[in-house]
Amino acid sequence: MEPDQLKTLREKINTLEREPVSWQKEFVWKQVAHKASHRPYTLRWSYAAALVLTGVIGYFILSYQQRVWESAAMRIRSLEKQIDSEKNKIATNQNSEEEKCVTEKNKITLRASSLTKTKNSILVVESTVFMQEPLAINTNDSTIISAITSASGVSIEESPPLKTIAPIIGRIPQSIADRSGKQQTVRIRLNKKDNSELPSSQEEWHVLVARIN
Amino acid sequence: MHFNNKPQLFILNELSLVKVAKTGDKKAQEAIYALYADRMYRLCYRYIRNQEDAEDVLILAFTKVLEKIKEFEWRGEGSLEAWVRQVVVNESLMWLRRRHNFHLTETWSGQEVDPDISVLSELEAEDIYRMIGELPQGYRTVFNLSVIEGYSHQEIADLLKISISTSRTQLFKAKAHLKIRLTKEGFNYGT
Repeated sequence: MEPDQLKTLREKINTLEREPVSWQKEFVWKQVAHKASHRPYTLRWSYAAALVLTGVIGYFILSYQQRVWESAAMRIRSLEKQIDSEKNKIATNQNSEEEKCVTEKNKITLRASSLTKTKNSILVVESTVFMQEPLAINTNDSTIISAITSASGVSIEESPPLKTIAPIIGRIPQSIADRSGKQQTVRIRLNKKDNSELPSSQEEWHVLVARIN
Repeated sequence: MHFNNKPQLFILNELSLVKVAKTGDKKAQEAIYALYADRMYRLCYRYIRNQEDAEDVLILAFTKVLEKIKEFEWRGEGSLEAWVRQVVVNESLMWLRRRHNFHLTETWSGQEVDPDISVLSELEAEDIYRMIGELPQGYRTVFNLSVIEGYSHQEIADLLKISISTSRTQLFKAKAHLKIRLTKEGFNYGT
């Protein structure tokens, strides 16, 4: 088809299409005008709905997040409490252990001290000073005692009841031993059972009758 | 509203009409519709070949025109009509694409002699319009786009989402079909 023929064909068609034709022109316009006027309105509602929806979703997300945070905080708090209680328990245990240790130590110390140190205050009741010849006594004690008292004119005072009267082997310094006849408190060094520390034969020593208070 | 009586805004030129319509003025929009509705209906009908469907397509097309008028750039007298025409053609093609498969894998060898339909231009406009309307959907669409609207095969291929070869084949077959019709009706001269 030649270009001028093509142009003629197009012009004929365009001219024909400009002629009025029977169709629902007003109905179509109403539809167009309705859509054109309502679409922005609908859009506005859509925007509003989207905004509300976004807000609601945001609220739910935030509240959910807040709940998560709160639960996390509660968990942290409970863990902290647990940790504190554990710390306290540990501290208490340590204290009790320390106390136990101290007690045990004290006990051990006491036991050790009781085992090693025995402080005895010895009251020297009497030193054996004989004013007359010694008597051989081998029968009734009461008769002997009365005989002794009547013969020497010495009155025997009964000592207060003693808890324990036991012979003690020990040493006292010579200076103290010289003051015989005087009641005094002296410290003596007790010999051990094995008599390993017995005084030498050169050393002068006295036999004492003493009681342990 | 009576579209037979030209609205007062018709006295404005195309540029002024566009400027007023861009402000959202209802009368200006109505004036644009009244100015182009008839020819756009005929144009649409040439593609759709069904009055109700053509009216539905026109509703969509003019709604789009009024929505997009703010984006339209006036480039001289007749540019508004060309733009409205383009919108209507696009809407018609969209409507057709939803109902017709243009994606035909027909290859154009390029060796066939193009049928001579030069006699078509000598016919009365109504006869031309009728004969084009009687073409099958695919042939008619490509013929309308190529011969009447003046689109290139590349543009047609883009609009219909088909290959250029398919566009050429459809146009060749449309012309061959018209040639047969012209021959049948006694217009059998020419090559």
